[in-house]
Amino acid sequence: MKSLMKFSLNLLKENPVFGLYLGICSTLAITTNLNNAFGMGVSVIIILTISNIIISAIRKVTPDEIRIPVYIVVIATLVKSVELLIRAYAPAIDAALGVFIPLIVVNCIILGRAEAFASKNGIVASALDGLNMGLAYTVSLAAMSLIRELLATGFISLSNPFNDQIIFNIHIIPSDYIIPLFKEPIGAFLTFAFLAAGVGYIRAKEEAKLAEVK
Amino acid sequence: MKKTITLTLFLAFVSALAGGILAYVNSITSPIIEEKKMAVLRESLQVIFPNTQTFTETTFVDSTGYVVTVYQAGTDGYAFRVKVQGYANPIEFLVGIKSDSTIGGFSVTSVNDTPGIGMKVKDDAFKTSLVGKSVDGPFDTISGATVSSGAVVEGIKASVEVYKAIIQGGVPDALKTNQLKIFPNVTSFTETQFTDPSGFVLKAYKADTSGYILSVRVAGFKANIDFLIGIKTDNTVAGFVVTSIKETPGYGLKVSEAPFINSVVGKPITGPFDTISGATSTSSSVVKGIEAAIAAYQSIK
Repeated sequence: MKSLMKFSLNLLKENPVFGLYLGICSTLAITTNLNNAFGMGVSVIIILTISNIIISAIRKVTPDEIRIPVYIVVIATLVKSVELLIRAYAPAIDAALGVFIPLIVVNCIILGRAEAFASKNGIVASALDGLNMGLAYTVSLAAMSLIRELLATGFISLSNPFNDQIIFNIHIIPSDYIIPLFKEPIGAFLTFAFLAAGVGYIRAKEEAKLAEVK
Repeated sequence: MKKTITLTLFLAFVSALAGGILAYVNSITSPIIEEKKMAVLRESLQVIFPNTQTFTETTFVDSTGYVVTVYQAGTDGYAFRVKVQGYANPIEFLVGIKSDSTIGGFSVTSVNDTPGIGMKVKDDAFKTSLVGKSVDGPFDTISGATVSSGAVVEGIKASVEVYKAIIQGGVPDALKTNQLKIFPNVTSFTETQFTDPSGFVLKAYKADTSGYILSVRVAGFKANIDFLIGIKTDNTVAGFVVTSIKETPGYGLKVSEAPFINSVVGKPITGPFDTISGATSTSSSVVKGIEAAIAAYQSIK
């Protein structure tokens, strides 16, 4: 029951990207459109959950001194195996997510959660933590991409990764008023800074409220 | 001490296990992946040559480094897989040249430049401006997107160069022609092993009993410079032929002109080889290449 409570934990408070500032490299790099955000998000959810499960399962036999190298070996093996399997059996997913999967090895959220959570908690709790963190990461990516794609292209679009069919494609800003800069790295930094500041403001306000109640 | 050994063994065990798992996964997936890759490639090539069923990879020489792979599309022509640097990211595209020496097709497979600017190389307007043109061009860039479209045009020009080299009797013959310039009386050149710590020497050929020819590539001022240098068994330079060069006329290009060639040919391999004043950057890298070739020659002897 306790683990279920944790699962529904506030997306803002323990948000890996805007709360813990983990996994920012990939966030800045890939949030140019919604398709990328969901592709990367789903890959991370899957790998983070499995890696949390494995690391939680072996936490009692892993010597403390060498836990980090062991985690890295586990994560790298997992990511590479998943990448090979996807490439062989699901080419449609490979076309959509292929570029993101190798990036996941160096995504510090995975190692961060292995170290901070899975190495100290049971398998079910760790799996839920993986799902929770993965979802929060996906939401953050989606928020960044939504802003950047809209400002840079004037469109909001999403397509099915399995057949490239467009699910929706809405033209919001006329092409004379778009800001292509937002597709560039500088746009990523700007968007990230504003969102992080906003999230920080809301968190600070909530904490102040809690302090008052006490 | 005992602790260290336990830890080492544990990590070694985990790594070995991981290696075993990966080897197993790789052994089941690699044939399937390879097959899928070929199917995707065939599909993308058929965008360029819709009526061709079989594509065969051909060998080629490309001094620019833009052309990645060349496919012969039956008797219909050739398709070139090209990778150039765009404004922000590399641009990859396929260009087909039909056997009547016109551009048969053009398809961008990967581009990630600025929307509304560099991304225009993907537009149909750019494609139609290329397709049907003679290989001699001129190929227009897109105004306002000069960096991206200029890079693509450079890549197409490199493909055209390769195409011309292929239809003019093939690459190996071009090599033979140049080898004969150095040793006119030798009939057979055979590739031999050599050692070259500098990395400049690409290949070594034994010219019967007359001597050796070394194929060398060095970085010039603008692009790579390829040349062949022949060394006779009496330890003098038999000949020097520049096969690929893109330097500034009047400066770096001088290394392919008669005064420099004459200063090299006939010299004993002990040197010294002079650089060209005013073209020091280019000529000194060529001289370094010559010295590397001599070192490789001595390693063969």
